[in-house]
Order: sequence, then C-alpha cells, then structure tokens
Amino acid sequence: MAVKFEKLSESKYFLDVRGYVCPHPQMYTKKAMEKMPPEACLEVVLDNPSSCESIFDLCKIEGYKIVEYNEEGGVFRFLICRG
Amino acid sequence: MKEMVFKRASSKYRVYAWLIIASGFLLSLIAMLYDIRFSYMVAYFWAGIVYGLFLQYGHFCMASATRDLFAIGTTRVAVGILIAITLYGFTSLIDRLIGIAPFHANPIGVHTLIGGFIFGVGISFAGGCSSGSLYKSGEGNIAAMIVVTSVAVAQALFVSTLKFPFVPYLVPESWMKAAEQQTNMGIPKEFVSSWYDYFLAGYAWNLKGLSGADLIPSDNIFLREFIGNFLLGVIVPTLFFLMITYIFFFRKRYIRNVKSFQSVFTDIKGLLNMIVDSKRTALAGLGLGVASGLHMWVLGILRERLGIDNFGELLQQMGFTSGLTIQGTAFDPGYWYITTQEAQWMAWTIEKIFRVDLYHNIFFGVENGILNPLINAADLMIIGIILGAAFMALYRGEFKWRKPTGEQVIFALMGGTLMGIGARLALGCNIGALFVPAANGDYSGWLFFIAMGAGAFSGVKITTWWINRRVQKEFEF
Repeated sequence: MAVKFEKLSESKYFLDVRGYVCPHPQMYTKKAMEKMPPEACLEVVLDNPSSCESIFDLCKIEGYKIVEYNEEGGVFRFLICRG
Repeated sequence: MKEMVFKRASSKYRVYAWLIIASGFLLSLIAMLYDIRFSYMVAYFWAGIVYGLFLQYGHFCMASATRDLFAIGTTRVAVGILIAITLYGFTSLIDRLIGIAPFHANPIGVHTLIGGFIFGVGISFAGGCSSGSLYKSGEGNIAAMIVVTSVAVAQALFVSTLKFPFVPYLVPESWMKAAEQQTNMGIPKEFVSSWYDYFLAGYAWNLKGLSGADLIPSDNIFLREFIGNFLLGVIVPTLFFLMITYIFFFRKRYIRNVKSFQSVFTDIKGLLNMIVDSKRTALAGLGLGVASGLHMWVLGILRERLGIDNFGELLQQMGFTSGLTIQGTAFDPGYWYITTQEAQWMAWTIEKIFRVDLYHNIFFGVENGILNPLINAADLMIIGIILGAAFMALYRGEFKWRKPTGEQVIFALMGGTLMGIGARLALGCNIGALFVPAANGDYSGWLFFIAMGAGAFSGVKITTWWINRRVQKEFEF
C-alpha cells in the first residue's frame, strides 16, 4: 500500500501512511502541513506508534492544533489544523 | 492540544502479554531446576526482557533521537538517551568501584568515525537503530524484523566472505605485516584470509582505548573512576551534548513561548524544561540506565559464583562444545550488547541451511564463536528484548502485525545492510559502540555518537529528498 494523499474539500485533506515506519509518517505529515493552505485541516492515519509522538512534537513546535486524536486496534488517527 | 495518553489494551491482549511473561518465567525455572548453571543464560534473557519493556515504554530509539532532531526539531528522545547514559554511568561507576564490572575501553580510531557514519545513514533509512528495531519487532512491525535480519546477514557475510580478488588492494601493507605477526604468535593462518581479518588483526587490535581515567595522573581507583571515568568521561560530555541540543534545537522555541528573555536563569529553566519535556522518555531512560548497571552487577556476581571468566568455560563444563572459538571461549560481553550475537545467529543459520563454512575467520573462529542461538546467552538477551517489548506493546494496545509497503522493504534492506557494515567497522552498534562505552567514560562512545549523528543528518537529507520528490509528484494541493 503506497502513501495516499487526498483533498477532501477546500479546507480538509487526508493522509494515509499506514505501513510506513519512522521517519516517513512524521515527515509526510510535516510536508503536507507546510503545503496546505492556512486554516486547512489534515486527517492523518498511521500505524507506527513512535511516529505519533513525533507528530505531537511537530505540532507543539510548529504551533499546529491537534483537534482529534484516537487509537483503535493499533491504528492512529489525527485531525490537525494549521490555524 | 490533545495529549498522548497511556492506554490499556483489551483484556484479551493483556492475557497474551502476561502469557509471555509467565512462559518466560516457567522456562527459566525449569532450566535452572534442571541445572543451576543455566542461571547465567537466564540472567541475560531477563536483562533482555527488562530492556525490551523500557525501550517500548519510552519508544526509545537512537534513530529517532538523531534523525527527528534534524528532520523535525524534536529533542525528546535525544534528551532521554543522555539521561540513560548518565544513569548507567552512575550505576556502572558503583560496579567498577566494587570491582565487578567487566567493561574495557574500545579501540578508538578513524574506524569509529567511518563505521559510526555508515551506521547513522543506515538508521535513517531503516527507521530504527539496533535496539529500536528490536523493540519495534516486538510491536509486530515486519519492516523492523527485516531490518534486524538484514543487519545480521550483512554482518555475517561482511566479516567472513569478503575475499574477492580485489581485496588485497584494499589491505594496506602495514595491516598485512601486523596480521602476519599475529599468526606468528599463535593464530592459525587459515583464520586470516578475509578483508575483515586483516582489519582486525592488522589494524584494530593495535589501537588503544581512551577513557576519562586515562586523563588522571594517579593510580588512586576512586580518583580514576569518579573524577576520570564518571565526571570527565560521562558528565562533562553529557552536559556538552545537552547544551548543544538546547542551544540549537530548543532555546528559540522556549524563549518564544516564555515571551521574553530575562537572564541566564531563563536559560537554566529552559534547559530543565527540555529535560522534563517528556516524562515518559525520561523515565524510560532512567529505567534503562539502572537496568544496564544491574545487568553488569548480576553477571559479575554470577561469574564469581560459577568460577568462570567467560561463558565458553561454562558451556564446556555443561558439555556444549560445538561452535566455541579456538580458545574455547564464546561471545560474552557481560553487559548490554546487540549486533555481535545477531551476526552469530545468522552465521549459524546460514551454515546449517547452505552447508558453508563461516567459522574460519577471526571474528567468529577466534573472537566470538558460532553458537546454537538457543544456548547462546547473548542471543537469549535479543529474544528477551523482543518478548519484553511485545509484552509492553500488547499491554498498552500498541501491538499490531504491521505489513510494510514495498518501498519500506527496500528502505529496511538498505538501512539494515548499512547498519550491519557500519557496526562491524565501528566494532559495535548504538549500544556496544555508543551507549555502553559512553556511560563507562570511554571516549570512543562519544566519537561514535558524533559520527552517527553526522550519518543520520546525511540520511535525513537523502530521505527528505525522496519524500519531497514523492510529495511533488503525488500530492495535489
């Protein structure tokens, strides 16, 4: 399964990096957040636990807001907004 | 901002988790009741379990520490590792002061830099260091298992088979002469034929180590150990790297958050803030540091009680002689180590499957042996790390069989191969050539740390280039 990136609407994007280990999930998330328009939000799905902590760190450093975070059966979902 | 929380898994997974520990306990008990001398192997196994627990708990990986520092600016794991080194430095200081620590400084030289750099590039590609890949294997991550296997294959073949016609051109005359002297002093000639044999006998064996104690012009054991190895060899370099991490990666962000810079106390507060930024990683560092010292202490006591200097003697007493070195010894570091025993189990497997000889070389035949992994104490530590991590991952609901993408398989194979070659050139990985020596005041560990960091930086640049390329091609904004 390759990395999947979709524009769901003008203000919402979707990134699926399941099957990827460090550093790919956090780096794809970083790239997507940098390129998205301001005020847009990104839903990220991943299954590498240690990347989650890096994504938390990334958001803290860059000032992104984690609106939602949940885990089910070893799959992690984030909803991160730039604004 | 949401916070990452410690989650307990469903009761089914928690039952699996406790089954792992119960099975390990039962097997250890049966082995020791059968023959108390198995306690030596059991000690290595349980040390591995404890390392695995803490590694998974703190998501403790030296690849994250170096790579995420450059890629994202995360200081969390780098700080956790420095805490672990300091704690282990303190516990091993006690071990050495009471005279039961088996540690000796590694040879230091240009090989440390080259090997550390290649290893650093490798961990960036692989997505985990040697210990990190083991704990991730315990989480059910198949890419990490491919990394561990690649590290083992690369090492087993690198040390034994590099005998192609071009090899003499890569062996300096001085190495040839020095290796010849070794054969005159008793090493059979048939064990010196690969490039790695000349590297060891002609180069590495002639190098000296450099520890903090070497800077102390006194024979007083307390001064040498406390001032030399601990303060000059552990604390000073740790503070140096903490300051570098703070100044280049944390300070700007901290000053921005506190709104104004008032005095030097702002920086002191900032430094402390960086240290406690992630309690969980810091706690894992603390656990690993204490466990590493206890591991050395327990093995030291067992060696005394069993009347041995090396595990090979014990195996001979117990009637296992197959795969020992020509001196009758076996790889038995007495502390946390990873890559050498991985090379051993792979060499044993390759010999059994392909019926080839990987024994007649210095690395296996003279230094470490090729033991059956089930009676190899150091290999039992590897199994322990994977099982300990599996316990913690199952208990926290982080266990999942994770199938890698084709791209991840290629990264894992490339990274694992570079890690294996780098580890052999540097005479160890992020544990044997970094964590253990750095915590024992051996400067080769800190040199490896710098080289690994430089390698990880280069690896991040290549990985970023690859990701940018894919983002430009496949992401539509």
